Amino acid sequence: MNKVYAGIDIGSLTTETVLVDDRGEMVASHISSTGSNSQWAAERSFRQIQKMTGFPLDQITYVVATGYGRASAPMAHKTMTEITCHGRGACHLFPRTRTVIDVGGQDSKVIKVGPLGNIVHFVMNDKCAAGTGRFLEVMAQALEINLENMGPLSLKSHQDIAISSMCTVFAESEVISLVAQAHPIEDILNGLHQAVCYRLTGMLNQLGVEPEVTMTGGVAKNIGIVNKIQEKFGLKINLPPEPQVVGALGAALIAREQDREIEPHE
Amino acid sequence: MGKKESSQKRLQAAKDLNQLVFRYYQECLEAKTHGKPVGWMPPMNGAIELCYALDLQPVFPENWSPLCAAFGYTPENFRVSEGLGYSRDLCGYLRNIVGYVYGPMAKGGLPLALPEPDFLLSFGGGCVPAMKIFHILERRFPKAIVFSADLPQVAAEHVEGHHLTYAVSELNRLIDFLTQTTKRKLDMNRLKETVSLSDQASALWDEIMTYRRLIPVPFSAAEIGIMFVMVTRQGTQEAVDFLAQVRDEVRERAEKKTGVIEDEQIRLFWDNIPPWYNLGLLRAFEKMGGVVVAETYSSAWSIRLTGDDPIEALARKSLLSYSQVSCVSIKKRREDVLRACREYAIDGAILHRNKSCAPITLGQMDIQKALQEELAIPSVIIDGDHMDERNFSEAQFQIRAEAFMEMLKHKKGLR
Repeated sequence: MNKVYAGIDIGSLTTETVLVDDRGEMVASHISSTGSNSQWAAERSFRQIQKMTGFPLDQITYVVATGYGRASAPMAHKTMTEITCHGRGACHLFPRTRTVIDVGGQDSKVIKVGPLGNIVHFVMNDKCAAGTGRFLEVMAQALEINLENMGPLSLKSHQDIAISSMCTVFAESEVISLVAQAHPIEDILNGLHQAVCYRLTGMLNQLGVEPEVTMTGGVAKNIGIVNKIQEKFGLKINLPPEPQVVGALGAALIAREQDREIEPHE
Repeated sequence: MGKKESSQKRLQAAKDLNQLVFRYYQECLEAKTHGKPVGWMPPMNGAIELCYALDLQPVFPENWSPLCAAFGYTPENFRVSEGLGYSRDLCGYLRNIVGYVYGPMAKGGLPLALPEPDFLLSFGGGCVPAMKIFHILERRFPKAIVFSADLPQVAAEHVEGHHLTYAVSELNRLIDFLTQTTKRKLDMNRLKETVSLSDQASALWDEIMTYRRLIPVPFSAAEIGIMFVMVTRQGTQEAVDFLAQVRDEVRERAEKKTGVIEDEQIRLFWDNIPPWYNLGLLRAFEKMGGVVVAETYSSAWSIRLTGDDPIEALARKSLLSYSQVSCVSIKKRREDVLRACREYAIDGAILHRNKSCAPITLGQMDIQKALQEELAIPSVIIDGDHMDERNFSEAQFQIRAEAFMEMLKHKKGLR
């Protein structure tokens, strides 16, 4: 391995680090929780990836930080927003991507990208974080199930239930009341996913859906939500092997371009 | 929220503005000791010139609100108005002034304050909260004599002769009210003088704004506080002198090609009222090579007062003032924004989705679409509020602003 470039995505819930080599291939990735201190999270994540790969950190040629905590990464040479990084990462994995749906811990975004992964337009959720990863976490706690099981369980639903409120606090009350009325958990989950899908539909319609569509961020691991969007728009969504690290991957690829002053996809 | 960054003023005149603001509010407080009756009124109509001509003290609650936001008075005012049952969904100007008149105004202790009104001019026009503010003030100040004006809300392009005739009759009714209530006589020569001064200020404003078309732009939205004189001092020599100082400074900067920032890469347009409590956020764009060159307000003050008849000129201004910013059709708003973006060579538009002002916010989706389709100008939506800081998230603003700048720079081939 000649040169290594790093991207670090310090999000509200998790921090991801990705290393890419001179050819832009991903050589390692690591996910950990962010906790209360963004700088510690960045340093911890870097140490972990060093342990995993054995690659000395001081030999990383260039580091780009992204995510809400991007300004807190002491090792970063440059910061970029996660919007740019998710666009770059998604296009690297699926070069025909023109629309990226990124639902992370505390926000959701729809991004239109050009052929080189450049951002053409984007919309984000309004100030309320309803329908994001944190929303799903709260609902999983209310229903006493694992976050990972939400998607598969919801696929067993037989009855549509409408969750009328998208406010995390009110929706939680609504879910508890549905539980009290003895509605099956899979139907409640299906209703929650439907509500998240409605919210994303608004943003997708605002920007216009141009295939191919790639979904990134932790919520892309929820098959229930992915299916709802696919059904709604009648298209197949590209799913990265590890949707959570796409932002960090994009950051690492930008780090490589910065060092070499090369064009994307070179 | 962390410590806010102040907006950076490049014009000496903009730095001097604080003294002018302080002098005006001091003058308002001292008016009664000089035997000058105090009248509260909405801004932008012909009553201001009339008051200065009659040596009455005009006070503008709508101007007081941004001042409260800039000086950090709003949290207490909002606490009081919410305690009275006014919903957080209402206009921030309304909630602030209601809170102020029912709360801190009586307690005193602030460096700046408003004097109680002797008369209220309730214009029955403008946006709904602007009208409701005066209904509330009527209840709060029962001793104040009220003049209820009635002007039609007609789009500027639809104003016809009969509208003007009616506005003139209403203005004459206002003159009768003011002269009878305050026992003053209107000197027509003095009125002509104030109208002429007001027109000179508008002409200067237009001239100053034309310099913003230059690349690099000699001053930015960070300096938009200069419009204070267009709200509170129309019809005075002070406004003309101040704007002449601004014009001279701007002209000098333009001649020397001195821009707002060293390397102006991206020219931006700001749609909607700015967050008065945090104009420093414009620095975020400046640090990334972007300058807010123009904004919705740029054209709001250029109502020229021409013709031989000062009363007709003021009547026309009163009619047009409603339809300058907040009472316009979506079609007109779209046209205005698109025209400004062409004239000022804009690269990207910031659309402030303002929770406190539905009339101006309405139509931004159409504007966004038209900007993209007709001019290929990208835009970004920033969620916020022109008065209530609680409806604004600095972190969310930062991510949108940075991503937007990254996108615009890439579009222009800047890395």
